[in-house]
Amino acid sequence: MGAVNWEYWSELGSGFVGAILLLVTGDPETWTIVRQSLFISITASVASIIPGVPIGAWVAVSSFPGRNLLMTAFNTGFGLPPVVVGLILSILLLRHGPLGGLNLRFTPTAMIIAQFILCLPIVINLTAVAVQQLNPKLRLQMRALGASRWQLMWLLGREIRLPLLGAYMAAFGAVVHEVGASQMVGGNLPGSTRVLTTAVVMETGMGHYDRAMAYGVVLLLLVGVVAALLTWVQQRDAPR
Amino acid sequence: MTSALLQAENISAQRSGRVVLESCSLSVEPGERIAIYGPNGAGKSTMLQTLAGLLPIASGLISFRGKAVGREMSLLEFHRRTAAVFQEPLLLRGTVRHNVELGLKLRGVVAPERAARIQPWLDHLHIAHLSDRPITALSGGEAQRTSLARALVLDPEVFFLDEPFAALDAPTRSRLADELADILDERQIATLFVTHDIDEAAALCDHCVVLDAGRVLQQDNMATVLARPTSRRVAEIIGMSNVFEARVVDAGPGGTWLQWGDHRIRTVARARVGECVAFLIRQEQIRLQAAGAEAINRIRGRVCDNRRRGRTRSISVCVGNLHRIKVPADLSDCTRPGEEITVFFPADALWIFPDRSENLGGSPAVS
Repeated sequence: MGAVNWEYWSELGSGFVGAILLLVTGDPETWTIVRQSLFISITASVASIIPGVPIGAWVAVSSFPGRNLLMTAFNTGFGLPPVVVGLILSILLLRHGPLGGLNLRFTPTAMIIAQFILCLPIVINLTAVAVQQLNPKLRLQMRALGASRWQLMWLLGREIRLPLLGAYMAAFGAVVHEVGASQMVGGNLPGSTRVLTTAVVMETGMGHYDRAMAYGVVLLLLVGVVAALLTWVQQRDAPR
Repeated sequence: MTSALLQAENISAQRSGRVVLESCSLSVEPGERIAIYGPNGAGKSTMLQTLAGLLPIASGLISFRGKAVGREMSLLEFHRRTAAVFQEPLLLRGTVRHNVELGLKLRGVVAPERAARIQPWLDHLHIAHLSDRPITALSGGEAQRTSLARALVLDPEVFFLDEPFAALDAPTRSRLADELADILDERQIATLFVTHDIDEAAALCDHCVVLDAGRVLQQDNMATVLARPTSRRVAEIIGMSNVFEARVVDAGPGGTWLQWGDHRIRTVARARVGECVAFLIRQEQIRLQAAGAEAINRIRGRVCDNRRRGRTRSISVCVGNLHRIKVPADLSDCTRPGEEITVFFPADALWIFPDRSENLGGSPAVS
């Protein structure tokens, strides 16, 4: 083992102290990036619920030829590589591409679309699994109790609220720390498309370890908050 | 115009393209309690769920108080005037109270009225002390009581019960069945009760529909079904032993004479001379005596088995080489296999199945 490189450790240490300072002093640049990250990822994940939950529920309860093929497609989507989504979307959004006229390249909207595409199969899959866990007779029982169509959907949705919340958290978690697609369609423009992950990549490349670490800490905190929220809800409803 | 509360005319139902219920007709009068009885896979639950408007009908018509369900009356309105309880309690997350008041909530009943309406049922079904307990902390019996309370609080005009006690242990089952019978007696609620336990059916219902392979084989009051099954298959389904075949050799005012193997036996049931018939000797009217002379309906045989069945015994007596007559006996009975014995039964213990459509000449006895 070689001698301890004190310079390396002191730089790392001062980087960490700098990161804490950036966070606690409310550094405007840091907080703009945090805000943009949350805005883009929450918008994309919430938007994916709107079609994702009904599609997942439909796939779970219906039987038709090709259903397994569709499920396979959604499962493939579960492991959709972000860079591939970024690539395809970038090509579509090129000035002379099919969606070029929308002028969305390097905008937060393009990032929301990319993250929405990444969220959708996750929400569909996990919703389908949750709905399949329900006792099929529960539907009959609720109808026999006089539930209208909407009341039935509400009651059954309420029964699987935990797995549904899990589906949302999984989708949000997947996109908030995703970097490939965001970088490709967003372009890491300060104040607009720069988010935590793209900023970490950039700052690390430039040797600004304090900033990179500050963003890394926020990312970890976000993941921790998501996990804590999930655990709290699960434990609150768990049978004792 | 009929007085029937619920009427089904020639209803058929399909599952995955397969016919599981074929042309069933049924009429439920106010306060009437009908058992839908049959072996596993007979289509009992399908019939009940179809009648309850929970499964689509392939053909036929269901009407409730003279209105065609799904046409003159919406399914939702029909469901809101009836109630159903299944084998599993099918409760929602939350407390017992939350579940019991669920149907009322769905009907938009306000909180104070809900509280006032559920309380008597919580008391009646002995779950008032559990009302704030989460359903995950309930025993099977408590959960099923909650499910019954949830249905009964809705004052259903027809009550559909799909083997509600099947998953419970024997003591809980009999206690809950007795309590439910009291409630149904008191409230005079028209009830359709699916079961595969004929004793349970007889205890709770005054009418019985015997179902097999999606078809109604017999539909009558309970006592008639038990005493005079229309066919050999019905007898088999309701658990009757001692079904045999014989030829009618004489018929007159004194009764009908059957040639059964080497024996000539007399019955009060009617049949045409020369006809080959399937008949039943009712177990409970058979007596055993020490071996003696043969006479009318007094047949000698040999004990071939003496088995304990719960709190009674069942003795099998072999008559000739082919037939085996089963006779219930007290636990104290110590007749031994091999012993010579005389089987005696009165002429009215013999019942000839009126449905002659079944192919005779197959297996000689239903055991």
